[in-house]
Amino acid sequence: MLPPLLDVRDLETSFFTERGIVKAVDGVNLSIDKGEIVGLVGESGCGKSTLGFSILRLVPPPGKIVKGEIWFNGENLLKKSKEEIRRIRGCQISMIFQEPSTSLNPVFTVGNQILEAILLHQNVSKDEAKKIMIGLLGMVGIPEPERVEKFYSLDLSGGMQQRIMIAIAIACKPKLIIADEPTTALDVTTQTQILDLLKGIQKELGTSILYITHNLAVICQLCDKVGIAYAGDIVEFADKTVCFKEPKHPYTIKLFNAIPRLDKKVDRLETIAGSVPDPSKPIRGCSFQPRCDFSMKICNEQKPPPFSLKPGHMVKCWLFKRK
Amino acid sequence: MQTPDTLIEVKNLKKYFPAAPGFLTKSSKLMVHAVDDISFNINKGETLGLAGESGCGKSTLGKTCIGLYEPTEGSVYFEKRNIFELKKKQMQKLRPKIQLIFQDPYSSLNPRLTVRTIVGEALSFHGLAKKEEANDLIAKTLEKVGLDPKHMNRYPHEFSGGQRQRIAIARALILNPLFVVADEPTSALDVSIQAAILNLMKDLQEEQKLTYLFISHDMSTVRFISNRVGIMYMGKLVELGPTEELFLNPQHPYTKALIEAIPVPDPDIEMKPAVIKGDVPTPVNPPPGCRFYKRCQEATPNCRKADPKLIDIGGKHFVSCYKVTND
Repeated sequence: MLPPLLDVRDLETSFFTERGIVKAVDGVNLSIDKGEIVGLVGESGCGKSTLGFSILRLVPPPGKIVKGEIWFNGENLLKKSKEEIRRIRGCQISMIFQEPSTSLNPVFTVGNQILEAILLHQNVSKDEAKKIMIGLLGMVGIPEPERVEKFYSLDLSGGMQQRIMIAIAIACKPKLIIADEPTTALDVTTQTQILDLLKGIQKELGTSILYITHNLAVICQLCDKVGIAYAGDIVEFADKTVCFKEPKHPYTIKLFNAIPRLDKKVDRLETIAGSVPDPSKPIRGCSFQPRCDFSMKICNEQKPPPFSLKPGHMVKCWLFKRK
Repeated sequence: MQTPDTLIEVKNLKKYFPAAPGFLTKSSKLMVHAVDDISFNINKGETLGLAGESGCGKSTLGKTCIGLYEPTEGSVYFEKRNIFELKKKQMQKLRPKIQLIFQDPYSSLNPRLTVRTIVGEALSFHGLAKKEEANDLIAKTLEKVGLDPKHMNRYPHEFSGGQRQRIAIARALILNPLFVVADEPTSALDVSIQAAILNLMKDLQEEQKLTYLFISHDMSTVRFISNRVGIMYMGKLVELGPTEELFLNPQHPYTKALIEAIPVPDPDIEMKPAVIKGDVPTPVNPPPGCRFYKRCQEATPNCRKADPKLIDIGGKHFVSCYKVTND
């Protein structure tokens, strides 16, 4: 079996704030195979975005990666020098952010911003780069690339801006794209178009995608595998079908029942009592324990290790300890 | 059409805004048709959901309905009185009956006021309760929305997003309103918290016989809470009908596309590729004819001639599309 493209092991990222240490990512293990789309879902503050930033070593200060390893293509990214990581960033791993309007530079034409990525990482002449750029614009579904290339980001709609961001992200044919809530700021009809585009890119270029979102339905439509994040950790990880049909972790089950459904009539939604634990306070035992209906004595004492239910289905919950 | 059950009747309501003037041009003749000739009723005790994409005019419609915007044309009857013809004093008397819940509980609560002041302000303004009575009432209302009355003297920043939205709901409900406009009340919240707020809104509606106008871009939320749903596109109401009928049997091409575009959290249902391409055009001086014409796959030249009317196709299901109504 081939080693995974990305293998995050025991990653811990903390923010050293004046008010104390905030553990945003707390011992995460995650692996992504070549050509796979892995979804990471969780509510705000669960550390899903910080995980994405950690992989690219873009955690803003006072945040710091404290512990762990990030293996990408056989190399540990955490051991790389700043210069080396810069060559990987935007070239082998690229990122798409939530707000295309704030991620694009308003004083450069969009064409220029795509060119920048190409010229920085590829050894090509300006003319060649321009040809690649026009090709990319066509690929992400921009009508009349030669004309739109000269536009500034403000001239474009949100959906079009996100297409430009995607063009920048795929400019160097990366092996992995980290997409952090790329459709959250868009309307649903535009969202569908962007999801179609990402699916197409994955098929055409064989790129792996780590898709971070709070929207369960989007994950279900796009991804092969799903990780459920809660309080800095991935509490359940499984194939999409397994995760949506036989969720095991009490948090996953509650989360699924809390969403209003478009395809079913529901009279009442399930709620999760309490709130997400304060990440600046150390958690003893399972982080979901105070809100869990099945809490046992051990849950309060020890953090649950990953339990494997069947190949590829991992749950961090004491309920699944083999007797 | 008024029936005894009608609480609000919106008649040919229009709200145009002048388009933002350019860099050097002072004024412009361009008008944004945010709400363009919309009519509908809301019955006592029901929830009317209003859904559509950003910029379709749903929030403007909500605000114009309760007199926060001066309409360009048209009228809104609240308990059979046209609110735009009321004198200032009369309108002020009416205000307690109509309340509003906003999207972002972080910006809709004054950070310098305590919860007691935020929730109780309207009571003293309208002179509805003396100080001691007011305190009792504030405590009761807080309890009703699931907050601890002991926290009355705290400031908004001491509460989480979900709790803040409960404070906003308490503020809206303390005056015993008849009609509440909720403008994307759960969009800024996480799903588990959203669930609690939606349940709470349903419970309170039953308890107090409230009437809601629930505005949201999230069709799943709208389906959950509404009795009837209206779909807006570029300032027009394109379809209106009972919730189940509308979701199971959508008629307008836009409604169909919108419902199809929403991903479903079920791995057995595969998403269809995007039906409508492109983005919503801006509603600045739109040409006559159906607003959806440019993106509609079923459009015929006929659709361009005049605005299609909202017509009842049976079972109180209204659609404005020439194809459906054979007009």
